[in-house]
Amino acid sequence: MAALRPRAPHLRVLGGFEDGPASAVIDASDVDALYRRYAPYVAAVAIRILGRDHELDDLIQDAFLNALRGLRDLREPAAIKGWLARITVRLAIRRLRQRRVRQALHLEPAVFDYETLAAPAATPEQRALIARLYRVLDALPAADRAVWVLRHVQGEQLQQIPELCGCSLSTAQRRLRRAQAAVEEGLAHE
Amino acid sequence: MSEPLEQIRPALDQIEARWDDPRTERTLAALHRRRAARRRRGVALGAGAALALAAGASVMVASRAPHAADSQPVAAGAARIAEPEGRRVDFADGSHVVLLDAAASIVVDAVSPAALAVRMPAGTARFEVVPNANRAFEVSAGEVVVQVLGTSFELIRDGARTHVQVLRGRVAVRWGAASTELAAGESGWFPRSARPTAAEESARADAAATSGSTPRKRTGAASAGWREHAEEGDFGRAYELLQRAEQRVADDVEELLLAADAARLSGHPAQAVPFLRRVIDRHDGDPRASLAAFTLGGVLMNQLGRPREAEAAYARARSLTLSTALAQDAVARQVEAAHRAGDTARARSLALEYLERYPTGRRVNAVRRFGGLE
Repeated sequence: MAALRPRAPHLRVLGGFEDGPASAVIDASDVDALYRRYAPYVAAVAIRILGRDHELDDLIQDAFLNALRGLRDLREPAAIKGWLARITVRLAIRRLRQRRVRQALHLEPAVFDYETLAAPAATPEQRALIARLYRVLDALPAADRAVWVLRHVQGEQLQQIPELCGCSLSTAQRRLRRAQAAVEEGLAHE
Repeated sequence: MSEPLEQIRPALDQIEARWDDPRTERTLAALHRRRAARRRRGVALGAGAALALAAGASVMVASRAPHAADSQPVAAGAARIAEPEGRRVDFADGSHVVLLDAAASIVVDAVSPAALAVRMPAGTARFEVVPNANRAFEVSAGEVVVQVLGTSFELIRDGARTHVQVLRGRVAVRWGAASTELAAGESGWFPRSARPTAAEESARADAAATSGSTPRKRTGAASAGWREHAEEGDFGRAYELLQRAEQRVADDVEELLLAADAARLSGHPAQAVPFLRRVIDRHDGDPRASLAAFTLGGVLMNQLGRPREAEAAYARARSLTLSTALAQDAVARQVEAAHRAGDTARARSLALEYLERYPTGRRVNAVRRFGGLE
């Protein structure tokens, strides 16, 4: 993460194994190539936290605008994916807080049809389950929700979550416990 | 994990973003537009600013929001994105929105007896709003907010900017701290362009020197004044100053379009014509020339009653680079202009052309009517 190598004027990003062939190299100054490679990943992270597809476009553009501004300061090319994820999580949490304010002002619906969140292949029962879960998540504090989603929906290791959320491990654990209790109770009564 | 979570686990794998290659390309194009806008303005509009804008919009509506007891949050499922082309979204009071292209989407942010807030993230849509003095109807598109007073109008969202075309009635348009009103037949792009940076001024001067045209000067206080007022939406004052200024309008597309807006939106449509013609004639390589021609067609047909010239303007718009949505509109308006000019053969011919090109186009009915095909 830290300064492992001299700052490169034209950062070259080596794709990780999960991104495709390791030989695939992207010049980080090639915004189009970066975007095409990582936008689907950023979208996958964002949709799981937000649950609302229509909020994705703006958030993903914001994430890349933030990322591109700081690209020259990123000295470890392999870190770009995690870096984008951190930016996305931060923006998504902000968006969730903003949503709550807008709901309080009746500018945003208090209830949302989360069944549209499921993939087309999902069964009706799975759609209903997903909708139930996200209605419960809507009641959680934004940071708690993000931690829970990253752990249980995104499948991140617990040790990765502090880095993604910009908090300590103990804080992440506390949020996760609190969120899990709320989710379990919420699902039991939904 | 406890039992309820175990039950949900298989379903979690079914959560996915509807993200495909076309969406990647569409949002990538929007990203480029936003980056270009930032460079032009020299202002970093980060997520914080976006939030600030959103908060500003919230305050604007909240200031008129009903008493809490009167407010009824929208029912479950009422707020959604509607994406299929041609889809119509109906409201209980008879108002409706027709999504006019595949990119169009509508989000109903809030519904109450006193206010209806709709957001348009992308695309082209036509709004038909039933007059109701007791209920505010607002549409937000980026930082542009259109307040409707019982009317019909179309919005085209192009990244950070939005084109508003009023078909009937009047609308109030707000962006940032500025605002203006548009009447039937009037249109415009909002927010108004930001003042060019020093670098852009320099580049323009260099380009003008190379091409032999007159470099732009902004040394006169009067010249800066009219532009400032126009950008703020005060078109009346802008036009007044424009009349006085010695060096009135530079031979620059942005400035010519702004001057045209100042003229036509202050009630002087005939004075807008020369500015628009200068854009079309002298800057036909500029992508904004097609919009100038399209706007000229509207001024000539709707405000000046010169349909034959309007038809020529729409034809010119088509010959320049137009977006798909505007290209379709341009043909339809050519049909209407030919009809109004009494050239029925021409109207019929153009109508047949429209139907061949856009058999499921959004103006099929009007084209049939004006083309004499009913």
